Amino acid sequence: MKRTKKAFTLIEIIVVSAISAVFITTVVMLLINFRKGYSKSEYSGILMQESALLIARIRTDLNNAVDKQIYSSENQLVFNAYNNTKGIVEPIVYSLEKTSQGHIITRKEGNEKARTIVKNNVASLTWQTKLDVYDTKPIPVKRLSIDFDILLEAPNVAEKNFRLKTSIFPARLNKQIN
Amino acid sequence: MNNKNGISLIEIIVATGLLAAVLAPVFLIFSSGNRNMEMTEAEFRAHNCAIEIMEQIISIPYKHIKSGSYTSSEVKNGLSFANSPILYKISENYDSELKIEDIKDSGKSIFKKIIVKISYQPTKNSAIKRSFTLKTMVANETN
Repeated sequence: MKRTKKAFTLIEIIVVSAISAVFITTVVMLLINFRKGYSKSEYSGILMQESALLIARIRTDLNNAVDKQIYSSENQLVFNAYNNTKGIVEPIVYSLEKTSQGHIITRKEGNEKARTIVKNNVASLTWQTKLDVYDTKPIPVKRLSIDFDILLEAPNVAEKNFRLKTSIFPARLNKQIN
Repeated sequence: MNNKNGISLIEIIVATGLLAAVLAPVFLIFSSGNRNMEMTEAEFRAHNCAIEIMEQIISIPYKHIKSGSYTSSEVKNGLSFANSPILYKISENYDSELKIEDIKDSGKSIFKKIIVKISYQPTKNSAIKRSFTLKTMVANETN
C-alpha cells in the first residue's frame, strides 16, 4: 500500500502537541516566576530605600548634635542639634507612632510640624543609646553610640521584609566627650 | 519516496529547539532584575559596614589612632590601632581591610588618611567577591 503524504498523521500531531505543551508550560511558568520575583524585588527595593533614607537622616542630624544627652525610649529618640539655617540649637524628635495602617516614623525639628519619614511599613524598631568606657592607657576612651534594629515589612507581600541592624557613632559628640 | 507537502516531525523538533535557544537569553534578561536588586542590597550593607568602622575610628582621640595596615581579624580586635575594641553589629560577617596613613607637614602628623575596604558577596550563590572602599581624613585638632 502506498501512502501519499498530503496531511499530518495522528501520531505526528500528538507528538507536536506534546512538545508544544511542554514548551508553553515552561514559558508560562517562567513568566509567572518573573512576575512574582518582580513584585518581591520591587518591594525590597522600596524598603531598602526607606531604611537607607532614615539612617542617613538620623546620621546627618547626629553629626550636628551638640548636647551629649541623647534620650532614647521605646518610641522616641530626642537630642539637641545645631540648626544651620536658623543658627540656633533646637531639639530634634524622632518618634515611632501607631496609625490605623501601621507604624510610621516621624521627625520633628524645633517648633516645626512633624514630618513622616517612613510610612506604614515599620514592623519593629529599637534605638538604644549606649556609652561605653574603655579602660585604656593613658586615658580611658569613651564611646557614645546608638544601636538600631529596624524591621520593615511590605503590607501585602508578607514574606519579603528588610532588616537592618547598625550603629551610629556621632563623631563630633565623641570628640567632645574624650 | 518522500514528496514534501507538509512539515516533517524532525523539522518541527528542530524549529522548537531553535526557538527555545533564542528565547532562553530573553528570559535570563528578565530574571537579572531580581539579581541586581540583591546586589544593590549587598552593596548597601557593605557600605553601612564601612561607615560603621570609619565612624568609630574618627570618634577616638587623634593620638590613639595608630598608622599601619590591618587585616580583618585585627580590625575586629581593634586594640592594635584604636587602643580599644571596635564594636561590631552587621560588620561581623564581612571581611575588612584597614589602612591608616599619616600625612605629615614639617615632620608633624597633621592628617590621617583612613581607607576601609570591605569584601562582600554580591549574591548568595556567587563565587566571586566584590569590594567596597571608603576613604576619609581625620585632622589633628590638638594643636
